[in-house]
Amino acid sequence: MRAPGDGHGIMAGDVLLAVDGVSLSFGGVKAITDVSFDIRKGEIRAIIGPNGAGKTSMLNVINGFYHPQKGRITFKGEMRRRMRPYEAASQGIARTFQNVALFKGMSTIDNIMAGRTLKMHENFFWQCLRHGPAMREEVEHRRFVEEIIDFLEIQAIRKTPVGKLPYGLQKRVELGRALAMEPELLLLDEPMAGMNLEEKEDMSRFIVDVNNQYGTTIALIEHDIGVVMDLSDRVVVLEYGRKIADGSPAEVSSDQAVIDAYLGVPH
Amino acid sequence: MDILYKIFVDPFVQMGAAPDLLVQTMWEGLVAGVLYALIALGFVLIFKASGVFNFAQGIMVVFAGLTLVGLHEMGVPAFLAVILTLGVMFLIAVAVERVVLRPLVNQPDIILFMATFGITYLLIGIGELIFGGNPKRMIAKELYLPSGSVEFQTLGGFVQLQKIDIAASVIAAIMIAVLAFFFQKTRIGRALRAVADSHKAALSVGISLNQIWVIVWFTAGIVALVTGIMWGARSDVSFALQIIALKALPVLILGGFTSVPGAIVGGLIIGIGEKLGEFYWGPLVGGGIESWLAYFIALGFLLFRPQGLFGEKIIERI
Amino acid sequence: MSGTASRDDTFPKLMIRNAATRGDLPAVRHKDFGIWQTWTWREVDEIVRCYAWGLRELGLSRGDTIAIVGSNRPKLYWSILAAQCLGAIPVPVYADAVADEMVYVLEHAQVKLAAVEDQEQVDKILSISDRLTGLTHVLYDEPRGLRDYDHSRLHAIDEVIEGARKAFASDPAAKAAIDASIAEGAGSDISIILYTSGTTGRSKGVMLSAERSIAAATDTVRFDRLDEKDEVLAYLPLAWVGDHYLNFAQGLVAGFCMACPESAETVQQDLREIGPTFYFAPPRVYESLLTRVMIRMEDAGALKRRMFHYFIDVAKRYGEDILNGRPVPLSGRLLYALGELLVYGPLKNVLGFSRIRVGYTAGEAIGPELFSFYRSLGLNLKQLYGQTEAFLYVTAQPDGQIRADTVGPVAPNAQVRIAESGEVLFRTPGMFLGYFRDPERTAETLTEDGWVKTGDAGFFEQGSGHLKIIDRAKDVGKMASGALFPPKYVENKLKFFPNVKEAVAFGDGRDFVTCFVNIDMTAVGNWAERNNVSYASYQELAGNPQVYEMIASHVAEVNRSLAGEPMMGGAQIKRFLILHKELDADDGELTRTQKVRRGFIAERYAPLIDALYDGSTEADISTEVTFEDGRKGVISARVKIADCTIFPVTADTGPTEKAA
Repeated sequence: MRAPGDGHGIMAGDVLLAVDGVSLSFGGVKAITDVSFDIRKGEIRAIIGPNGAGKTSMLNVINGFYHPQKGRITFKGEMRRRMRPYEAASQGIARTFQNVALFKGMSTIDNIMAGRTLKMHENFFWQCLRHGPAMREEVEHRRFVEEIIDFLEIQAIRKTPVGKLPYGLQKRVELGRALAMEPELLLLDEPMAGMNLEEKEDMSRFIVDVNNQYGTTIALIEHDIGVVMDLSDRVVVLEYGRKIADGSPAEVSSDQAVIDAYLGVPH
Repeated sequence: MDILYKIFVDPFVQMGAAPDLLVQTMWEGLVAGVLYALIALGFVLIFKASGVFNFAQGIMVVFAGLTLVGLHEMGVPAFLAVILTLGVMFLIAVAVERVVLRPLVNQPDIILFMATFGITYLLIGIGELIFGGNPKRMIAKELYLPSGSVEFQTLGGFVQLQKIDIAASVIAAIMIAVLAFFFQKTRIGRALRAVADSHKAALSVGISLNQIWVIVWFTAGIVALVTGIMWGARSDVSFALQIIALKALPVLILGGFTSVPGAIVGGLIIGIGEKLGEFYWGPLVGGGIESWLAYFIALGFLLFRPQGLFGEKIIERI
Repeated sequence: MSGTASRDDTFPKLMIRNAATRGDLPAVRHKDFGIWQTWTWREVDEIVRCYAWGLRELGLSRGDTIAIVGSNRPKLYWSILAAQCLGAIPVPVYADAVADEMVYVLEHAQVKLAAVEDQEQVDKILSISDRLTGLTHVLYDEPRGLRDYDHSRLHAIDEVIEGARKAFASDPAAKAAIDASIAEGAGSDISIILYTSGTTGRSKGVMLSAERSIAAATDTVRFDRLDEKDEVLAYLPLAWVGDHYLNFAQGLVAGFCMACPESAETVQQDLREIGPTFYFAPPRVYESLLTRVMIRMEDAGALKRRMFHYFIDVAKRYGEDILNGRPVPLSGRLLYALGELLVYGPLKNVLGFSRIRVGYTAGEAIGPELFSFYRSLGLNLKQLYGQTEAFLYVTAQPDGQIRADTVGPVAPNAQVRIAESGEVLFRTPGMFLGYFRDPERTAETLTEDGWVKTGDAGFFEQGSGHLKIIDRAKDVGKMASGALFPPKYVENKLKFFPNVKEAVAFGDGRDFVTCFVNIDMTAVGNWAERNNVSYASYQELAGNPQVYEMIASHVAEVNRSLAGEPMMGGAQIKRFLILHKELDADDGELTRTQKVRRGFIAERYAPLIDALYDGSTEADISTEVTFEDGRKGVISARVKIADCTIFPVTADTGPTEKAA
């Protein structure tokens, strides 16, 4: 796989994405209240918190599914208030979902190929003829997808409709589809939910490898605190839609507010 | 006993006695079925990609036919008229996406369904305003579609095939093959299938729903134009034609709302079933069963396989 | 032996011959990134010579050993060839061996280099490198994850080959040196050392010479008429004699193409895509494939399922006869042809068996039903009997002489002798030179006049001359009269009846043979239902007189067949009983792999055995059992004992020595 381009001259360690005073509410219900944090290029950033803390909403804000009422988001130095998912994807933000959102009727290959949509440009006419530049393009992208399949060790299910796969493998295919976008920022929503120990170990290995080998910046939500502490460089903790802590795994895990939130001290 | 004999035995005796008539009837059913299938195909395309049951598919057939003929009457050469009509269908697709689908995104299905009623009456109104309400003759000859018929001496009698029917079947088959190829093998086809599967996931990989909607409505428009030409060449182009849209309903029930092969097979079954029923069983009740037989078949089918012949199994996880 | 074999007496020389005579034909395939990559013989020849130079630069020289660790990958096979070019000795090791197991083999073999598959194997070798005194360098195929490793002793095989290519380009002497090294190789060189994972004790390194290996492979290539148009899928463990013989050695001799699967999990798909013409699998693979087919058919639509079962029946009736060239009525042939079109063809295609001309199985007894099933589909499935020390064939079934219950007549140019004790001895063209650095155990394995002991007991069937393997020789007992008593052989004969689930035979040191039987609840329960026999439990069904009659008839059948076999007549079952409970691993009566624990059972049911031998017609027994929820309880029962028909022994001792 190729390493994604360092868009806009952002170097490792610089801020890739900054969330600034973001608030989001549905009707009267506040999902996120005035949250700010940043994600630096090349790091693995974890977002943790008890159920209903607004973690998934935060991801949805970042990739444009939700539009915050207040606050700014700066990605690769460009500030924005509203962005559509389509635009987020084309700027290099890929994601996976908590409950796996795959194209269930399509094969593993086709699912991952779908992740290449934005990278394919040949026009409609050539595509219909399946000839000339479009054919070359298809072959070139297929090669890229095969590298991902090799990387995730899913050769055996290449042509299986993903709806038939066990949950753990579906999560892997979903990661593959996100990787196919060659993202600069990869959002993973509970990548290990519902997995057994072995599958969790595999998935952890893949996440670390993606980060190491391709320098992809990763933001992940995860419930398994052990996994979070092992994997991530920095952790932000949300509770009831507010940020209560932010720092290295060691700092966060010794933070009194965090301990209270997880042990459920009454407010 | 007599009535049972007339229902269960006599028709088959007749079929055996005059196989040439049987073949003739089946052929006519087949041709009708092909056209039903084309209309159902238009429905399926839109239903798969946007979850909308497009009531306007029937009027789109009429509107496409009228535009084609109308443009020709204004002095535009036939093939240029076809291209211009395609342009009009594209504009309709864009307009539907902008004015109807985009503002109504995430609304309940029934709202979108009602919206397609609106589109139907709007198109009827515009059509009458521009082209008038009188039936028009399809410009079949100008499009080099064959006319006349061929006869085969076979099975102890004659079977007569209209050339236009043969052409219609061939063109329909080619179009279905092209569509299938487009769906399976190209990036846009893959994106269409992706959208049909999961909107959320499609958005996350950067597929633009708006663009996809325009493409499927335009594709449905192309299918409508082809249907309009073929059907128009057999009778006339008139607003009465939109009724055939209702024939698509039993076809869809039979084939499943989300299945392209289902639309095709369903269309053929309904077409052939209808003609056979009319010819062999119709006289029992004084004829005219063609208009309701299709619904009857579909109803029977619903009892046994609610998801249709090829539809995805409906499994509600609890 | 043919003239060519004496000239091309090493594998590298065969490689050169293949590059010269069929240079543009495919030699190796490997699926990588979803596409089958192919190398012709000429390309392989070029790569292997370069690789050999690279290995030489790393210090590998004549007589040194190099470990090969990993799954079936072209570069690992080339490692074998490249080492042989230098006169060095490749030592393939099972890739799934844990580090500690590996230490023993690698240290015993004194390996100097190791060529391994990937990061996993590199890690394993590095973790034990301080215990491997001779190891200097490690080479790897798959670079993934190894980028940040210290590369002072670690090398990518690709880079080694690439480096050598440059050396060849700039220095003609380099290429000449490799050519000379290949020419220097002699047929008497040790070609490879294969470590056998001996059932007892430490692994033994079987040394094979080049000329003997090639002679053996030449014989079987001719026996099965293999040639360059054949194709195999190399999916068996690289370190196992079967893979080295069937794919590597036969491939080089016949010049056919060897395909390497994409990964262990994709073998089934790869099989379909490659469509091999020569195929080997142990019986359990055939069994699991059949199970999978059956399960899939149960899920299929009613029409499809009925069609499947109908034509499988047709195949059962006519298929084997058609394959064996026996007369079959025209209607049968037509039905079978239709079945081929509708069922067998598609089925074989799904399994990847469409093009198989020769299929083998070996290693354990294959159920006759299972064997017939595949043969009836038109798959030319045969049995062979082989050993690492024999490299490989001792006996094999030629086309047209195929049976489920024998391992066939003696293989070409091989000799087999049955020892006094019933043990099978052999001398084969590929026979080993001895165990590496282990003269003691070499001497134990050879007889004084140079025959190899197999440790298996067997006999030649009269008339056909086929060898039948009875059991491990050490498990074959002697009766008081001195007649042989092979318990497993007798039990297996009984177990071939669907009504018998388990059987335990006794007779070692006794006057006659007796037997415990467990009935099969499904099969006998079915029979009971059809015959209106009511029962409430296993115990009740087991005690039913009609069931006793049925089992007695099965025992009589077994006795009749034993009476007709040389040396087996004395082992006829005289008395038997049906146990009141099913033998169970939870009670310690079976191993977890469902093998009977004879000694334990004899102790636990001692009163029953006494009753079998003292002539009483019934006996009382109470045994402690463990229920599924872990509770313990006691079952007591009165068990009936039945006498059986004994047949006069018709067979003499049979031939004791045979050569092909």
